Order: sequence, then C-alpha cells, then structure tokens
Amino acid sequence: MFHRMLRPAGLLVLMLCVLSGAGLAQSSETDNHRELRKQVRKLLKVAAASFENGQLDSAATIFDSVKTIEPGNPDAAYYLARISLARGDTVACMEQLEQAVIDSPRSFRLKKFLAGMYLSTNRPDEALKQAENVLKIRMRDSEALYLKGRSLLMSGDSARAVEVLEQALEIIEKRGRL
Amino acid sequence: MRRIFQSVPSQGMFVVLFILIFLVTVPAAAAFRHLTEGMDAPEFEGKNIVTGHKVQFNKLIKNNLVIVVFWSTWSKRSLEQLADLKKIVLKYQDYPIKVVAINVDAPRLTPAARAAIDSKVAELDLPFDIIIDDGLKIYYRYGVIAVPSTAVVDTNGAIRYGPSGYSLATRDVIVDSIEMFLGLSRPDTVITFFKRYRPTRRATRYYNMAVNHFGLRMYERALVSLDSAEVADPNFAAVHQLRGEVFLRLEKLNEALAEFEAAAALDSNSVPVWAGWGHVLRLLGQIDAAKEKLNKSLEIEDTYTPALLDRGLCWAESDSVDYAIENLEKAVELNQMDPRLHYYLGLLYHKAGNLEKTLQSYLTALSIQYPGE
Repeated sequence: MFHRMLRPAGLLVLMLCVLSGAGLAQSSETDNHRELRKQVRKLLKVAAASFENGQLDSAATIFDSVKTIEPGNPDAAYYLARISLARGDTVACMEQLEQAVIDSPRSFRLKKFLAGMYLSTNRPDEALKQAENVLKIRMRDSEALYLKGRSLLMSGDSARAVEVLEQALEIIEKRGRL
Repeated sequence: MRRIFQSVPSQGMFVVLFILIFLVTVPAAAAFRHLTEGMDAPEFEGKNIVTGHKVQFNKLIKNNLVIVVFWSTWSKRSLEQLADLKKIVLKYQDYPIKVVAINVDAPRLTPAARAAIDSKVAELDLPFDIIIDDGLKIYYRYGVIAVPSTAVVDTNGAIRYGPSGYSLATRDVIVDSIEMFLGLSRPDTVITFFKRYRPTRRATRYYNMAVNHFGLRMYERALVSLDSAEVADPNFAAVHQLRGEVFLRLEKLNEALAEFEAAAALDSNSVPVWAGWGHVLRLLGQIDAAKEKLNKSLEIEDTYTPALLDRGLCWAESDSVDYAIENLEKAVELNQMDPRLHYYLGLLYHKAGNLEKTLQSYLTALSIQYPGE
C-alpha cells in the first residue's frame, strides 16, 4: 500500500522537477532576450545620434549590426533607408523600404516614408495605397491624410485633395499642434 | 573712433548706463511670443555656415552687445536688414558689437534650398556670424512671429529691444542702441518713447518656468508657476498675459478675458496683450470689440502676425472675405513659417472659391508640419 502511494507522489515530484527546470531555462531565456533588447536599444540610440550628426557611415555600420541581431527591426530599416536617401541613392532607399514594409507590416512610419518616396518618384497610386493602409488603422493620422491628399492631387483629383488636406489640418489644429 | 572708445569709462558703467537709458527710451516691440524686453534671451549655438566655426550665444554676450536677427531668403525685408547690418557692423568694427544672423528658411532644407542660402550669403558677403536653424529649434524657442525679427541683447543676456519686421525706424533704434551702449550718443539723438517695466528676477524665473510648462502642455503647473510669479511681482503684466493664454487652452474664455484685461491695465503698450484680448473677444463672438483691440495692437506694431490673423478672421465673421484675405496675406508675407497662417488663408481662399490658392496654402501648411525625410 505504501508503494502504491509513493508512485503518484514520485511522479508528482518528478513533474515538479521537470517543470521548474523548464521554468528556470525559460526565465534565463527571457533574461537573455531582455538583455539583448536592451543592447539593441542602446545601439539604435547611438546610431541615431550619429545619423543626426551627419556621420552616415558609422550610423550605417551600427544599424547594419542591429539588423544582424534583429533582422526585422523597423527602426534600423527606417534609418538605413534614410541613409540611402541622404547619400542620394533613391533606388536603394525604395528597395529597402519596400522590403521593410513587408518585414514590419505594423510600422506606420515605414509606410508613410514609402508613400513619400512614391510621391517623389511620381507614383501616386502606390503612394495612395500606402497612405490608405495607415488610415485603415489610424483614421486620424494627419500625416497619412497629407500623403493621401498629395496622391490625389498628383492623380488629378483636386477637389478630393482639398477635402482630405483640410481634414488633416483640422485634426492638427484641434490638437493644438498647428 | 578708437580714441573715443579709449577715453570712455569702464564696460561695467556702460552696461548700467545702457540699461538705465533703455528703461526710459526703448519703444514697444513684439517679435517673440513669450519673451518681453527685460527677459533673458534663450541660449543657442550653431555652426557658422561660411567659416564652419562654432557660434555659442553665451560666449558672444560676454562683454558684447549682441544683435540676434532671424532672417530668410524669402523675406525681402530681412535681406534689406542684413545689408544694413553689414554697414552698421563695418562702421563699428572696432567696438564690442556682435551680430548673429539665424536663417529660418525652412524646418528642413533640401540640397537646392541650402544652395540658395549659400549663394545669397556669398552675394551679401556679410561680416558676421550666420547660422542655419535646423528644425527651426531656435525659432520656436524664441517664439518668432514674423521674419525678420531682431533681439538686441545686453551683456547680461537680457533682451533690450525686440522688434518684428524691419523698417528705417528699426534700423535707427538699432544704431541708437549701439551708440548708447558705447556712450557715443549725443543728448539730442536720444530717442524718447515710453517707459518699459522691468520685472524682478524672481518673478522672471517663475515666469520662465511657466513658459516651459506651457510649452509642454502642463497647464496646471504653468498656473502654479504664474501664481508664484505674480506674488513675486504683482506688476508683471506678462504673467496675466500668459495666464490668459493658459485659460484659452483650457477653454475658460471668461477667465482668459479677465487676465488680458488685467494685463492691459498694467501695460497699455503691450502688443501681445491687446492681440490676446482681441483673440478672446473674437472667440466669444464679440467681433466689433475684438476688432477694436486688434486694431490697437496693430497701431503699436503693424507686423504682429497673430493680430493680423485674428483681425482677418474677424473680417471673415463679418463676411468681408476680401479684407480677411488681405490681412492673412500680409501675415503670411511676414512669416511664411507659420503653418496656422497658411491654413486659415487656405480656408478663406476656399470660401472665396479659389481652389488653386486653397491647395497651395494647405500644401504649404502641411509641408511645414511634415517636412519629410
């Protein structure tokens, strides 16, 4: 009888050991991940400061290393595209943005940047698509409305463009940010 | 001229004399949103675009009278002012006078826009520091409301004269302020205007804290700081003016009205106070009374763009769209970097049925807000 009682207890103890072992492993994994994220944030901060100071090469190196650690990092992608643009390479900029938008579909900043690039290369339909993708989730995004307005104007729809631009300005004005 | 300079008393006496004279002789001026004469000019630094050397405001003001001017290539008056300042600086080149010309063409410059500035600077061949205000940070810190705007700053860093726009009268006051600083003024050339009140340092400190809180939209904290400023100096009109603006943001129009009235009672020559009063009256629907206050503001200084904006909107309320547009167009000419002016002008053009100009105005307003990457 005593043996029969021991078996489930033993199993219970064994399960508890396994679970706590897994928990420990997971907790150390979480710690590692947290530490990694912290390092990435530091690198991004340093790289962004280099970029703002005009040190494009060193900024690019650091952003590239962030991408090695976190391939889909939207901030690194954003700045690498800006660096390409600052170097005058609009083709590279657009390629990077198009890929980045696929890798980070939730990044509104990347979509808006891409919309702006489409406008500057005379592709209003594609710009409109990106702007509307943002507006589907963020209906009152005044920057996206501005990009939409510009796309409509470029496509020849001035009347609609006025409406949309006015809407953008009204939103900013109501927020007291005009 | 050097002999005159060598024979005059010490620099310290100059400062005292300069401040005393300025207290009774400086005309009303309103180039900046929350800065009044007597208050400290905000610090800034930048890179001289010709020589590449660092320009630091807090180093310049040591023992120098500093003239800070906000200018742009799109403002004809600012180009006239720069040309006049060149003559002034060359005339007084042996004296401790410094000029810093801060370019505010746009929040972010395209390569073509930067090239245009460089070309203009080369053409003007200016013998003083020229920096570019990247992101218009200094512009917003000073609260510039028209271009050009000038701040004549003494060796303590306090603004002694701060006009917006530029005219022969402004040039004359700048020259007279230099000559007073250097002790070169003859009695018959001293300008007599009205007295400008100088707040206590303690009150100014609390007021500056309130301005910071206001800028960060921390309105309750701003009110607390303003209460302290008022206790420190009950005659400081700008406290009531700023409190009025806080109440406006909190949509407490009657309280705002009372504050602007109180400010005007303390300082009847303050351009922003009359303009603020007019603004509140307009929001309360008292259009005729609003126009009266705004006209008073513009009589003192006809380049005060917030007053031009409100007066234009008053005309729009009275269905005089043409007069409204006239006011807004004048305001935009004075300050192309204010997106509000473009927005309201766009609304007026829309009302007047001019689609092309509406679009142009809206696009300009938004391009200032979102300069792009």
